Amino acid sequence: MDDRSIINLYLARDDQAIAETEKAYGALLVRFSERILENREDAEEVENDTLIQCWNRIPPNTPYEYFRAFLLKIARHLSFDRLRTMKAQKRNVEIVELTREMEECLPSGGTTEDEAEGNLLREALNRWLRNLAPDKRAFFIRRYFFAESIREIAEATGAKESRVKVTLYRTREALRTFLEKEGYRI
Amino acid sequence: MKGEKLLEEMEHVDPELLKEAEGYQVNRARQKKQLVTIIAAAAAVVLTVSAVGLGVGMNLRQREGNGTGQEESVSPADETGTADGTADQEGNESEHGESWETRVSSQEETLPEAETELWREKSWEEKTLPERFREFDYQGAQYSLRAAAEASRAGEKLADVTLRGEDPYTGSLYETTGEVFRLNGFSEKTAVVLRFNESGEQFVAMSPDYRPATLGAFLLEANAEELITVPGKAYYRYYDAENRVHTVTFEGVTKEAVLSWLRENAAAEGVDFDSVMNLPENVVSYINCGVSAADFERINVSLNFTKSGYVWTNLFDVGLSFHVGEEAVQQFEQYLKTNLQGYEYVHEANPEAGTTEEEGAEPGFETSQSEGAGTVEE
Repeated sequence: MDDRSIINLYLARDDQAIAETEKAYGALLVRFSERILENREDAEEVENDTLIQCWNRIPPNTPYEYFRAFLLKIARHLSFDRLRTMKAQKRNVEIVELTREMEECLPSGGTTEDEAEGNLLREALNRWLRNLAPDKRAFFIRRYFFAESIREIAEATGAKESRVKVTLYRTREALRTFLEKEGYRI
Repeated sequence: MKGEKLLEEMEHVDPELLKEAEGYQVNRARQKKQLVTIIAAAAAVVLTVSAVGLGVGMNLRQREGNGTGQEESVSPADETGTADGTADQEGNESEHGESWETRVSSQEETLPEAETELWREKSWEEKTLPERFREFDYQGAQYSLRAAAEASRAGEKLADVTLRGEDPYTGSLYETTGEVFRLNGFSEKTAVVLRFNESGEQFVAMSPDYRPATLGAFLLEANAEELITVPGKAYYRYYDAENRVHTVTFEGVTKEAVLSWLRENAAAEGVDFDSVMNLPENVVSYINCGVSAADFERINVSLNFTKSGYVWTNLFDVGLSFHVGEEAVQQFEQYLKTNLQGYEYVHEANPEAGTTEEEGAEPGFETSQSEGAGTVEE
């Protein structure tokens, strides 16, 4: 069943929508969440929660053109929520590393975190991403949204690992410059 | 805001961009075309790496002569820039019988006005020569331009290379040529000097493909004694009974202490970084020591220690890791705890409520309260 038909099931409040979503995207959601949580059982619970949230969000949302991304965003949010409540020691080291890499993007200075939060930052991040060259944007999103390793990005895109590494380094530098110019001192 | 928050904010990326990223493929034909022909290649220099003689014998328990002794108390105003310099003189006795004073920090700061001009990647015409041509291949490895290099840093010539750059807006490819020289003191596997024929400008170029066999090899090949500087701070992370994370900041970490520890563990084998990242959950860095490599434009990055006995660093963009063993890591922890002054920022959610007690906090560290969440060091 294609995305449009599945969404129409949601809109009709037909619970077959959930079964169809699971059939089409269940494995992807578990795989994606497992990458963040490094735990199969937790990832399966996230998948279930994602399907429930999807049911609750459609309607009013009608993500005909981006249903896959819509699901992944919910799953990512739920995975990070769960990560926060997990025993700190058991945090996925890849996420620890991703966090550290993101810290490289933060301009030095020191202020409260509220100033950098919220819609403005989200809007700014999207604006910044849109102005990146496609390869930089793809590598950055695959790394920091999909939490893929350098190797996975290289394999998925056909780029050399070294190119991915260097490009990510440059892109983090660019994000830091951008955030500085936008007035974020974090 | 911390890196974790920024990472979480990525969830709001436009779905269209996610879709594009999932489908992105580099143009293989173009990649092939971009292969650099090396006109002249110098013979590879094989460096003999030996752990013996790398300088052992550092007594990590010996106090550093840097003025962080137990009798010395640090003024809150000196340390944190607090306007009134007031401090709660809250006694806090460590497991070593040392006493610490509590500091109060203030984080009020005026933000600069935001620039309204949209950030965008420079056009080809706007870019300088090194901005246009930032990477090149040499002996099968990629090298990436970093800091400008003074003329004296270039040793013998190793090769001529062609650099190719791409206009990000049009996709047009451009070429220029340069010469590769040895970076004095460094193995060419680690970094070289690239001189542009067009302008004569020269830059350090480091290889993200560099993978040292041992920590000792890294010290030699990357000329660590020269390369690394140590800004002086290390962060020790621990968990209390309620599984809350605490971070203790140690100031006064010296380059000599770090290098001595590295030398002592020179035999530690290099481990694939991704493999380390995929190890079980106990591989979480619990000590993070700031290091810098100005040549590589890596300022205040980190040397990380994991409880399971790995040390890794991001001096080379993504990571080099070595297995040193748990004991060696504990040795560094002891160096911090025994020799340096440690303090801990404590987030005070409600300053009106009075002093924040850190229940379950490991004894022995001064606690500093902060009124802004952004001041909690992690």
